Amino acid sequence: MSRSLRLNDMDFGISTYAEEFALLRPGETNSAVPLPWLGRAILEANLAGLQDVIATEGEICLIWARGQKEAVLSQLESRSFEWTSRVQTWSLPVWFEEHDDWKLVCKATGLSREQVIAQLLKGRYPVAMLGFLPGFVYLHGLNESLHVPRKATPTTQIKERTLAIGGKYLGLYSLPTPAGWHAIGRVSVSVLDMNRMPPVCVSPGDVLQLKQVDEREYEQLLGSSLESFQESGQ
Amino acid sequence: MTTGRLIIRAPGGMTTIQDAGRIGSAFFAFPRCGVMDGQSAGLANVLVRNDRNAPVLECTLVAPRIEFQTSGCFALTGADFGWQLDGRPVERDRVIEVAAGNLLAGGKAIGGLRGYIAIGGKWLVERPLGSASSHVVTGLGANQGQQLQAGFKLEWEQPETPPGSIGLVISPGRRSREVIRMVRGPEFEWLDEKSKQLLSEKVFRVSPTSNRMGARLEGPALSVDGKTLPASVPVLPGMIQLTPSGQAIVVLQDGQTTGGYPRIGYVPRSELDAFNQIVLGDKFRFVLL
Repeated sequence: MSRSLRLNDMDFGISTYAEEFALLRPGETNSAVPLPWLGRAILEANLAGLQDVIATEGEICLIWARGQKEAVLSQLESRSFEWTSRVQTWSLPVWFEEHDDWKLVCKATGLSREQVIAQLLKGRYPVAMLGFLPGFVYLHGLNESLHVPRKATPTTQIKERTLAIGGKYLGLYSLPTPAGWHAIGRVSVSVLDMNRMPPVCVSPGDVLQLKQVDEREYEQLLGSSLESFQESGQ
Repeated sequence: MTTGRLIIRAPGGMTTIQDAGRIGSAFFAFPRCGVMDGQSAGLANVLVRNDRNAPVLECTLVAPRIEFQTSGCFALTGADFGWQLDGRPVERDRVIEVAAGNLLAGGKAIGGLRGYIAIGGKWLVERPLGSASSHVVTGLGANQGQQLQAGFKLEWEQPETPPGSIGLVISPGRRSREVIRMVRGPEFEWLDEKSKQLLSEKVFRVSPTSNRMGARLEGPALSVDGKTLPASVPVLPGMIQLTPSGQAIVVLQDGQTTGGYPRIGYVPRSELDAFNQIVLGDKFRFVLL
C-alpha cells in the first residue's frame, strides 16, 4: 500500500508492508534535510506505538507495535521535527598502522601510504549514517582520490576501533567483526558505549576529524573517554 | 521474598536466555535479538503468569539438562524435545510444579527446531539496553550474551502465589510447517517474471548453515537481471534478501539493521515464528499474500 506524507516541508512516499513497518522515501525534488538526521529526530520524539527507526541515506524505516500503524502515521502528519542536539566535532587520534590492506589502497589510488595519510588528515568527515552492526559509523567527506572499491571477499575478523575505506565512504568499525572495507588505522577511543542510551556517542551530522598519533601515543590514549577529544567552541 | 534457583547440568544444542527483544536501539544498528518463535515463548510465559514478553530459556535442536535447586513452576512450549522430569514424561503447554532436586531433561527436537522454558517469577538477570536477550557479538544480555554452559545458575524471585493450572490452553501446535506466507518486498518488482513464478511455486529448504542472524535458502536460483542497490537500505527480521548468486537469505532476529541486497520479500512476524521452527534441511513453499 502506498500513500504520501509531508514532513519538515518535504514530501515523502510511504510504503507499508504486512501492516508491520513502513519505508519513507523522499520525493525526487527535495533533499533539504539528510534522512538519518530526520530519523534521529523522529526516534527522539518518542511517538506512541513506534518501536524502532532505521535511517539510511535514501530511506527511513518505521517499525511499530502490533496494530499501531495508524496511530504512528497520524502522529507524523504534517509535522516538523526539531532536533535540538547540537552538532558536535571530534578530533580522533588515529595510528595508521602497517596492514596488508595498505597494498590494495595504494594500488587502487596510485598514491603512496604517506600521500594517502596526508590527504586523509586534511578532511572533515560528517557522520552519514549508523548501520551494519553496533558501533559502525559511515562517514562522508572522503576525498575522491581515495575512493577504493570494497573487497570482493570480506575479511573474517577486523580489529575493534578500526578506520577503513569502503567505496566513497570512510568507516569506523567499533567491534571485531567480519569486514569488507580496507583497514588503514586504529583509533584509540571508542564511539560505542553499551552501558548508556544512546549506545553510540556520535550522531548523523556530527563531524569527525583525524589526528595522527604513533603507536606509543595510540597505546597511551587507549581507554580515554571520547569527551576529551571534542573540539572546543563547537 | 524467596529466591528460586536452577543449574544447567548440560547445555544441549544451543540454549540462551531471550525475551521479546531489544526494542528502540535499531537506529544505532543493534539487532533486535529475542525469541525466534514469539508465539510459543509468549504462551509459556502466560501459562506461568509472567508477562508474555518476559525472558525464557530458548532451546535449539537438543534439549539442555536442568536441575532445579529449589521448588518452582515452569511451562514447556515449542518443539517436542521428548521432555522428562526425573525420568517421567512431561507434557508441553501446561504448568508443571517442581521440587528441589528435580531434573528436567530431553532429547533431540522432533518436528520443530526450538523449545521454550518459562519459569514463574521475576528472573534475576541483566537487562542491558532494556532487554535480557543474549547477543554473542556485542556480549549484551543475560550471561554476557553467551550461550549457557554447564554450571550456569539462573535465579528468580518466587511469585507470591503459585500460578495454579489454567483450564484451557489453545496451543499453537508448534510443528514444522510446509507453507510460509510472505508479502512482496520493496524490490520484489525487480525479479524477472520467471523468478516471480519460481518464488511462489517451487520448494525451498532452510540450509544447515543458517544461524540466528539469517537463514540461507536452498532452492531455484532467482534473478533481478543484475540490478543492484546504489546504497545500503534498512532491513529487519523477516526480510528476504536476494544475494548475487541467486540464493535468498531471510534476515533473522540477530541480523544486521542495514543491507545492500535487493529485498524481494518479507515474512510477517507471526509467519516468522513458524518459519523459525522449520527443521534445517526440510522442504517448504512460500505463498504470496
